[in-house]
This record gives sequence, C-alpha cells and structure tokens, in this order.
Amino acid sequence: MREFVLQVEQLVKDYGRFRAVDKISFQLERGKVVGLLGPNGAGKTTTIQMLLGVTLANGGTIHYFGRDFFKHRQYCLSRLNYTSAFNTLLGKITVYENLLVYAGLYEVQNPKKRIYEIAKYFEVEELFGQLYQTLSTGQKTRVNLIKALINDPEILLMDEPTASLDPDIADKTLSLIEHLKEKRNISILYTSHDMNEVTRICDEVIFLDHGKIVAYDTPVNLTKRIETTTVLLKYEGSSSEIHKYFQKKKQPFTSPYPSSVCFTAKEIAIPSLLFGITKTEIRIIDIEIRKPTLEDVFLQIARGGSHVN
Amino acid sequence: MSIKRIQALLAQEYFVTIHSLETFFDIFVFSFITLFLYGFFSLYLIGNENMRAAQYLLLGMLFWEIVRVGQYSVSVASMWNIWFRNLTHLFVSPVSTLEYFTAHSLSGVVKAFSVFIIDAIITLVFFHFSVFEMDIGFLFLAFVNLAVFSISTGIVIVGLIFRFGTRIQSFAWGLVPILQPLTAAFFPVSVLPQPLQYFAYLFPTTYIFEASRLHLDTHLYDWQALFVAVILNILYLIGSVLFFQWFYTISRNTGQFARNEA
Repeated sequence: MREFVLQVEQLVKDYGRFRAVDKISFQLERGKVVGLLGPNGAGKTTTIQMLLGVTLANGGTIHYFGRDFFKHRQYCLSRLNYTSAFNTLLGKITVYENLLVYAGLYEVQNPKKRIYEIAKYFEVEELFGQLYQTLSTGQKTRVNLIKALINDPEILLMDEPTASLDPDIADKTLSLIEHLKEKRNISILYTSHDMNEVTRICDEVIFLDHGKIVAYDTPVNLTKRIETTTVLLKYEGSSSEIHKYFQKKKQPFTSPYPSSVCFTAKEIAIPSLLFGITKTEIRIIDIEIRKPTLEDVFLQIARGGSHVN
Repeated sequence: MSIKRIQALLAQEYFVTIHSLETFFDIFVFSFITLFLYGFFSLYLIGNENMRAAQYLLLGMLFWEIVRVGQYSVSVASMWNIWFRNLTHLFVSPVSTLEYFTAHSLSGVVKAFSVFIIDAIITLVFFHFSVFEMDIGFLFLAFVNLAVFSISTGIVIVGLIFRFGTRIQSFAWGLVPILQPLTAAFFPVSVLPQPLQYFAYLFPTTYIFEASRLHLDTHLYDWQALFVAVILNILYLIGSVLFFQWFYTISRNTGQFARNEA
C-alpha cells in the first residue's frame, strides 16, 4: 500500500498582486524522490520555503505524516530536514560544534556517536576541528548533508544541493542520495536545474511554470510526451541525392556537417525514412539517435510551451 | 519547551563567543574602555569635590552596561546566524521562538552578569568605588529589572531586523544607546527638560536608575519606583514578545524572512 509522507493541497502564495505559487497539489510517497523543476521564478524555492514554514502560504494545506503542518509544526519538523546550496552553517564555529548544536536542536540521542557515524560515511572526520568558514564548497556541502541527516529524517527537502559543486563532488552527492533512498527509505523533495541529475535520481518530476504545475509524471513518461526524435545521419554519396530524398518526403532537415543530415521526426516515422534511404544510392555509415530528454521538456516549458501534451 | 534545544542554542552562543574576537571586543573590551573613560572622569570630579556626581557616573555606567550587553547579546546572536545564512537552518529545526529567545536571554543575562562583576571589581580597584556597599537585595532587584529590559529591547530589535532585513542591522548595537540619556542613567531625571521627563518615565530603567541613586545616598529602597519598574518591565516583555510575533509573521508573509539570507 502506498504511504504518502507529504501531501500538499491547493497551495497558494501571493506577494501583493503577484501570484508566486498557484494552487499546486502533489504528494510525496515514502522512499521516493520527487523533483521540483522549473525555470527561474517558477515558484520552486517559494514552495520549499512554505513546506518548511519560513514563508507562510495564503491558501491550501500541507500535511506531513497525515498531520497538519501548521498545527503540528514541531512534530513535523523533528521528522524532516533540509539542505540547500544557499544556506550554510555558522562559519565562526567549528564543524563539530555546528553539528553538536544541530544534534541538540533535533534532540538526537547519543549525539557524538551519531555525528561520527554519519561523518565516517562522508569522510569528513578530519574537518571536525576546522572553522566551518574555512572549508571548501565541496566540504561545506558534505557537512551540510551531515547536518541534514543528523536526526535520521524520514523526509529530506533539498534545494539545489549540488549547485556550484564540481562534477566529482556533485556525483558523490547524487550517489549518497541514491544510497539514502535505497538503504534508509528516505523520501526526498529535490529541486535542481540539472536535468541529468533529476533523470538519474527522481522517481517523479513536477514541472512548475509561473507558479503552476504544468507537468507531473515520471521522467520517462515526461520525455515520452515529446513525440519527436532527432536523428543525425552520416553518409557516403551525393548530398544532392539525399537532399532530394528528404524534400520528396517533405521532411525538414539540416546539414550540420559535410556528408551529414539531421532531422527531427515522430518516432514512428523514423524506420520508414531510414529504410527509404537504403533504397537510394546513398550509403549510411553512422546513425545517431537523440531521444528527447528531460531537458527538452524543460526547455519547451521554459520557452513558453507549457503545453507539453 | 525542550531543555535540550535550549542547551543546544546556549552551546552555539558559547562557541560563537569563544571563537569570535568581535564579540569579545564588543562585550568586554568596549565595556572596559568605557569604564576607564568614565572612571578617570569620575576621578577628575572627585578632585573637584564632586564625589556624589562621580559616584552617580560610575554607578550609571555599571548599570547601563547590563542593559547594553544583555540587549547586544540577544540581538547580535541572530545577526551571526543571518550573516552566515544559518538562520533558516535554525528556524526549520523543531526549535520554537520561545526556546530561541529563552536561550538567548539566558546567554545575555550570563554575559551581562559577567561584565557587571568584572566592571564592578575594576571600579573598586582603580576608582575606589564599591557598588557592593549597596544592599545585595537592591543590586539583585536592579540587575533583574535592567536585564529584563535589555531582553525586551533585544527581542524588539530582532523583530525589526527580521521584518526589515539587514539594512537596519546597525539597530542591533546602535539603537539602545539612544535610550541612555533618555533614561537618566548618569544624572537625576530632574536634569532633563520637562517634556523629556515625561518621556523618561515611560522606561522602567529610569525608575531603577533613580532608585539606585537614592539607595546609594541613603540605603533606602524606593519601593514605589521599583514597583513601577517591575510592572513596566512585565508590560515591556509581553509587548516585545507580541511585537516580535507580529513582525515575524509579517516577515514570513512577505517572504522577507527567507530573503534576509539572500
């Protein structure tokens, strides 16, 4: 049976006459990762802020573990945690002191053991004595993640946790999220601009645009909504002959390189187009098929095509 | 209310204080320098047979530092968290605003008490004025009243900063000194122009400073002044909490709270 740890209904946020979040509803299932995507100003961060209570909604409801967030704030917050590239820990004190403070705030039993246990996984024990402000961005991210896991949360809200990280550290962070999902059954709400990482870790994706949910599905299903696929062909033979072929088929194309054509067509039409070429004097020497990605869905939405089927 | 969370916030305050040279200077060094300034001035006054004025000056200085340090501690604790973009992390933990201010008030009281004791010893050793010649009971009443006022003003200032952002951050250390002349810390209220005297009596600290000077002169307790101070302090404390809740709500409604760390 599906268990929802977070249920958001008709959430609204107005800043004066500007509606930042417009009646959004979604759910987060236990053990799942849901991505919250959208262009800048789409309402992602405002939504996260409302889910944390640092910004107040104008309408709608938020329920964690079946309880109303506004009525049971402390209960809900004690079972979730948050990390973001935009919020750091106190730079004036050491890494260990910061973690000790948060262990106390979350009333962690045996805090020292807990801190060392998570720190071992992140390989940051040697940083414990350093002032937080002296750490590199990658080190800070790892320490932030320890803070986010200190209370063994059931829900983790992650606001662009890999922003400004180098690819290696970003990859480690994603591996950790995959590990958390698999081993600890944590539910994660994840915002990011990086479509590859969203495709990698998210079970479901919510696309926000102008404060509204414009698409809500699995990454695979979302990409299926774009019915066209792009094909790059490299060939041997006369370019005029292949151009004539595509003109005859009324298929738009480009020639990005010499002896190559690129065309975008409905997936179902591609086999017959390719088969037709083999009937000509043209010899295909390479085929590169570029299936639609989440980035294409994102771009379509960001460029005003909120009509992704 | 969780004792563990209050302890955690107190631990954070302790860690910041021991690591921050700025806090050490603002609380202790600044206090000692000011004390020496007033101390030398009081020596000058004694030399001119103004013993009473010199003692008023030192007493006012010792008591005023309780207000300054307590308020500074409560307000600047939040500023550190804003400057390091840690405030959101704190406020999305299960900590309540009551726990938050209880911890910072306790921290402020401890710092104010430490500064008061050290300053009092300095005035005794270097300027031959012993505040301990006053009744311990009176000192206790004065300290509690001044500390509560400092906490109330600290909470109001945090509310203002949450509401209007760091553009008014200098309030954290620059607003309370404005009250120093208005609450007649160093001189009798009667010195103030009549309209300002009415204004001065709106502050509980004014009654404490007046009662302190009377006690220093006569060892008598001005119970009426102390009673008014207690009542005003209760009203100020309740008012400051309500004011903070009001501005905190506005800050979260307008999105300013989240923007404070942007």
